[in-house]
Amino acid sequence: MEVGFQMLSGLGEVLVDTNNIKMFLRHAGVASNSVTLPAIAPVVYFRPLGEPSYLTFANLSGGQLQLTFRNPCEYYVFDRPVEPSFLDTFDGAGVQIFSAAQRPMNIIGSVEIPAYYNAYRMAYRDGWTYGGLVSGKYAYNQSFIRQGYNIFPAAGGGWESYLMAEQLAPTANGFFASFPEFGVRFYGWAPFRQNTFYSFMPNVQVSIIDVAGIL
Amino acid sequence: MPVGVETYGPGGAVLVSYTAKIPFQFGQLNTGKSNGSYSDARLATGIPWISTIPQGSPGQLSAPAVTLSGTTISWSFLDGVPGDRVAVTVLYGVR
Repeated sequence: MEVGFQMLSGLGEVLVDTNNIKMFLRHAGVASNSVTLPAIAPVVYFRPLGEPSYLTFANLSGGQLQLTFRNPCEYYVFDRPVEPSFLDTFDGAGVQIFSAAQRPMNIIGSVEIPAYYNAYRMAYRDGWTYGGLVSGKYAYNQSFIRQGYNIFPAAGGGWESYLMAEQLAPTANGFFASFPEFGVRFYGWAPFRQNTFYSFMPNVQVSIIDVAGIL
Repeated sequence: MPVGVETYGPGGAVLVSYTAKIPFQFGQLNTGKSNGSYSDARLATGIPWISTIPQGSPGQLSAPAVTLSGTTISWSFLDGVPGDRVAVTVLYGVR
């Protein structure tokens, strides 16, 4: 029989046990561009402060996480618990898996962004809005950064394309997603020859957390 | 009156309550720069989640589409794109 400690919520769901790692808020702050933080296995949520933004680069090496955002953002990094408290829990290997001193990752919703850019030629720029939450302050995590190719006939013949990344902007009751800026230009190359915006990537899950009162 | 455990932050804010949900993290993997997939049966034990952190710029380099179907995480790149590919780290669990 398995031996250990387990705590259930009022909903009968496991809050704490001695087998699984739980995710807790480890860092929160504002990044004008880049920030470097200690981390083990981070999940990054962000909230753009002005222009739409996305996570343009991350590197986790030697216990240090470097994050770079396209535009200034608030960031909220969840990780394995590290802070000591009066109710710490450790797994059989001695790794801390629960702390009463840190805020747990509490995902309030998950939204799937559809392929809105297929609606018409400029739909990639006009974007897509989710507004299903009550008014508040939220941060977002894209399950992956969706890319698209903006394809044009090239001057002088042939075709060219620009690689573009999907970015998010906060709204009071959700978020706005779009491909607002051109990236790398591929001279003489395009996924196919048609004046269109094209992405081979599927719908993206965006999970949302409530960050009111944290910063 | 409900019975359970609550934890509080320094300002008195409730951190964990008897109605809380705290996601589990089961592991992480690196996609590398080739198409692939990875399965973990534990993803069937709750509502699964994945999160990726790019190891390079997806605005400048070819990045994989990462999908989750059942208990399998898959990733694939668009063939034929000039230039380098960017690998991503995938974290996963249930909530």
